Amino acid sequence: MSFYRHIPITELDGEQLEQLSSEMKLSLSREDMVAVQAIFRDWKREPTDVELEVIAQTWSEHCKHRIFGAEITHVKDGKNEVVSSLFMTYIKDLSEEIFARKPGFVLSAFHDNAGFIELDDKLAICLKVETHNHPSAIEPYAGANTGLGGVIRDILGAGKGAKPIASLDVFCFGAPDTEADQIKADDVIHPLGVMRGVVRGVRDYGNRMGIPTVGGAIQFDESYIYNPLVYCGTAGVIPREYIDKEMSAGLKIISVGGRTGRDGLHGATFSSAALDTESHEEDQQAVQIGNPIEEKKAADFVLEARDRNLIEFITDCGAGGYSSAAGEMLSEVGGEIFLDEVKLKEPGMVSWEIFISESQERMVLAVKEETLPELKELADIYETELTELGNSDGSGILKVWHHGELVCELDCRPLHDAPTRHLKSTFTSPSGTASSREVESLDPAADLKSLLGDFAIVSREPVIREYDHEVQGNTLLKPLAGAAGDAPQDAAVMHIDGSERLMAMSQALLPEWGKYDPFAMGAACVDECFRQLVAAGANPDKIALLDNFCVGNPEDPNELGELVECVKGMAGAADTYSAPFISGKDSFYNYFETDEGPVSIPVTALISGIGVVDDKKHVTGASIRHSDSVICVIGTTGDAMGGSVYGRQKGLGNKAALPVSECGDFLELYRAYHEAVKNGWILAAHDIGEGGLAVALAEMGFSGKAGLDIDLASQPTSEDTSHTACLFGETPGRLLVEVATGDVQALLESFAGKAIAQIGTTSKEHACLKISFEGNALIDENLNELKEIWKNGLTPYY
Amino acid sequence: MKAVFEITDRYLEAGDCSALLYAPLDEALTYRQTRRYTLDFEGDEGAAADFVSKTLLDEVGQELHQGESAALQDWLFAIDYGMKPGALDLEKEAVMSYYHNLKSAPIVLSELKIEHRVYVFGESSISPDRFVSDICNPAVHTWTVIEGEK
Amino acid sequence: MEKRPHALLLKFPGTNCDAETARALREVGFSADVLPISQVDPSKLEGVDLVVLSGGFSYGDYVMAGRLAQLVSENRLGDSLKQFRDAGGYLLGICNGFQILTRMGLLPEGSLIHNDSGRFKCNWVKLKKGSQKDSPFLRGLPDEFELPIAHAEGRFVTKDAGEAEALVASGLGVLTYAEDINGSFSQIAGIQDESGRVLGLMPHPERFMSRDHHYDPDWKNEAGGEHGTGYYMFRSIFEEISKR
Repeated sequence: MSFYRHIPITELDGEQLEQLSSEMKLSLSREDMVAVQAIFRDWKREPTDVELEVIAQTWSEHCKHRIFGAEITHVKDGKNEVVSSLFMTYIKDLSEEIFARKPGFVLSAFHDNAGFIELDDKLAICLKVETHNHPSAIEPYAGANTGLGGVIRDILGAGKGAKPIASLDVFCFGAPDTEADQIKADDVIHPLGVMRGVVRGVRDYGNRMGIPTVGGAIQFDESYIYNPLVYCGTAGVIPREYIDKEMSAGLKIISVGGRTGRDGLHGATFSSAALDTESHEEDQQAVQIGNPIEEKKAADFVLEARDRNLIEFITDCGAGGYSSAAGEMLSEVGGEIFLDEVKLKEPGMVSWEIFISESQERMVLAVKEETLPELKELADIYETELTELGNSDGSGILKVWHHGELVCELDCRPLHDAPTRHLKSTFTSPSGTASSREVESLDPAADLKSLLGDFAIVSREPVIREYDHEVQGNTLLKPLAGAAGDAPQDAAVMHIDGSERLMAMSQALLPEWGKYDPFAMGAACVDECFRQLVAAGANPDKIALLDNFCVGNPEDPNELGELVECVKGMAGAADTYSAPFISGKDSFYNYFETDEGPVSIPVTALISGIGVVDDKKHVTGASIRHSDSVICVIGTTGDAMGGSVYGRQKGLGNKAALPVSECGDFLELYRAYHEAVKNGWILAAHDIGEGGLAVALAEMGFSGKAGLDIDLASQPTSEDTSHTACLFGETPGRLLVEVATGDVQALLESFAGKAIAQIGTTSKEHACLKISFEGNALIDENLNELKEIWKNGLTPYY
Repeated sequence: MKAVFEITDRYLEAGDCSALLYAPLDEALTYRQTRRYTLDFEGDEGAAADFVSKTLLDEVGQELHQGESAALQDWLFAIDYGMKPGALDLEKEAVMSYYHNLKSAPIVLSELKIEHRVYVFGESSISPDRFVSDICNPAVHTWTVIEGEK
Repeated sequence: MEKRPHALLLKFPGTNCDAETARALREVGFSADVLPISQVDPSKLEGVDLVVLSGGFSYGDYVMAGRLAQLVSENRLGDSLKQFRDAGGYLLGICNGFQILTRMGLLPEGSLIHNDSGRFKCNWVKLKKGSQKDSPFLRGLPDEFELPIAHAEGRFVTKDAGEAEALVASGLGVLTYAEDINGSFSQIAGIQDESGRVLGLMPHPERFMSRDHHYDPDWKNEAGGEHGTGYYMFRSIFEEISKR
């Protein structure tokens, strides 16, 4: 009789409630506990441990995103404003306004596992990105592989089951050459160990699942030594008739996939707390390792069951395990779950352990009773285990049975709204005004080489080659392309079976910007992601975005202030581009108590996006195609060099301002560019990003098909832009394009009045990158030598 | 009954130890990895060896050594590591699942322990601890260090 | 209407290239079914012209690539795949399928072990046809062509290096890498059996069916065709079976 117990809480005082929360590792604040107490006082009974665990899961930061829902008193430059929920104000309400501007484009958002946009009249596509930071800090391989496994299940559980078709993986690590004595805490895994483990974890899960990993990014900064960030994203496709799903009374609840064990207890509440050396020791019981074949079998089952129209409702078993999945399905309609039916990995598990265990590779479905025999047969065919968990009954009450006793009986309605948190944030606008002349490039060739060898810019090829980016046979624009198949691209483009249209996928993050001007970072990330998608051929009217934030300590008003500014910057840009957010996630408490005090990450926003490419002919790579064509630059270059890789290398710090994203102007350019793509004028296009124009030109030339002879004199610039800023500045909103000589005139005319200039040609001297200003060579280098530096930057480490 | 089998790769050359570690080594040390399987079983020892050969050994690319003794000689030290109890060992799961589905198993296999063995070769006074800390993670592994005889 | 040649793709837990391989087979004219291994017994080979083992990670490739799939297949099918071949049937193993066919003994003795780099490798490689130019699978291909690879265990080895050399000399080593990419003996990328009806190869022809699949947007088929190289490989075996 010890498989569950009642916990007396109705008589406790605030301090005792807080203590209870901490003893049970519920991660509920005193306020939360008081609210829970009020509910049970109202019901005139004491909760069971199962009920408390369910509430803790439901209200956890991981599940409820309470900081994004909090009321924040934001003080910017001494002026007060109250933000009532960052999520509602800047993400949901804004996006719903954008949905209304383009009816029929967004087919589902904010209520399912992932949001869907229209691909064509038969198919829809979706994308979901999650973080798995804390588990990856403790065991990089397992953390990353369960991270990817989890987001793949999100897609399988989106609609009535979407097919995962592509993944992206974005990491932030300490530099791989970090010296051991730079690490100021015990039991922290060296960044190189984190990187190797994380990449292999993604590799072994993604490759085995047969989902191509086509996109990604890696950022290196010393603040990530203690708090590595691991973002895993997966895109999916679904026939439109399977997007909507609804629970009703009288359905059977079944689980398919892996068994339930003690592994993965308290993951949801764990991710709502900071790391310290002790967490590395304490949590060594709780590391889960993914089993991709278990998930592959479940995926094969789910997709076949969906095609036979056997699924009424489906969701993944992620944070909170069955309690979250059942909660999602039964909190409105009500129903019963029988824990005795659950197949266990080990004997002796008590009720709450079974109900909240986050064991991997499980999906929960609601199905009609009469389809059970067919579903069981399918489970046998694909060799996955199917368990009947319970049923929905229309009572509105979630009832959980174990050994014949009712261990949980919750009316979930009072639980929908966790108490609103009240937080304070402050922000002081950056004041840097330094001209780029303070860091003038005296030897541009040497500076270019130094940038090409910077960890921020060097080729990710050693990592990319470990991922199968071509399985499923649909990867048209690959992460590496060009004549030798090793030059960088801006976005991936996937063929979608059954459609003439294609999906482009990209991502952007600029943590270096976030250190100085989080507002500028938010806007620039949206711009970069949007621009890369457009560059690759996506229709600018058919782009949807995801926001994923990682933040240090939200209780520190300065750190929260940075987040608020970042969200505002991001929302403004998305509004201008009419690119709605269809999903997002946030991760807090990415800080670590070292021997020398706490280390927080800079606010790190990942913006990822999917876009529709209307025609295969629009797919545009970023590598030079041939000699004797013309290079044009689109967009205006400014002088501001704050946040740039060059600025970091030269120690510019916060002395300079960051570039402003004039998204209204940019959008005009992108629309004109897209028309040029449709007219077939664009041979290749590359966004100008980290390292600026000089690096972007070199990267285009890494295709090996032609040299580049460029003169910057005619390049559109704002007043007072120095040569240094022209070469290495990172003003957003710019693209480099390669155009056939015969099409240049038409292209320039179509851009009449907009910022565009012909800046050079591609030359037969294949190995030559020459960048001049009014005929004076600033850079005249051998492209093969530059490519060596860039291509081999990571090879000594990975 | 217990039996130990060690499987070595015939064509895998010794590698530079720096590849195992997070920072380059000053000494020129090399390593080779093998897998050690410990079977707890009832039945004929020959049948166990036969099961191992058929299931776990690649006869073309690998060699099988039966018994506790080390398959390789002249090493500085070796580290045996495997998944700790409760941590998922995917290879073991796969083998046991195959075994349980056999209609007539040649032996009654009650436990299979899988360990990776890293042999380190060369002359050095380096402590194996550095290798352990970069190869093993207490969150998932257990390990033992074996001193070489030379 | 005449019956189209029929291909059967065996799917193990972890097989993950079955859908695009079936798509490729259908594109060249086959009818194709994917059959999960739990449903397989010798009777399922009736009426089949080509058995295909496609790429992926059968049973996770735990222990070693293809081993558990080999054992499970042998338990389910006994020697019926050998009988199928002896009766004139064709077998094709791509990547993981090559590893499985090798372990089953349906191809000359050898093994596919970890790449000498110790790493998974996904990229495009140049391949050369061996001396046996009339392999029914490769007949329609030029002497040199490109295909993508994606494998961790693709290093073809034999008990001694001489056996691999002999395979190339006899023509059974039908495909070699133009450069050493994974440490394979004699740079072997694909082999066939004595009958010529069983082929195993590490590269993925199903990933190069159209020219859009190539990493270089300006790629041109030297042989002049409009498709990717993989198309002509599937088409070769389709024509071989059709003309019987």
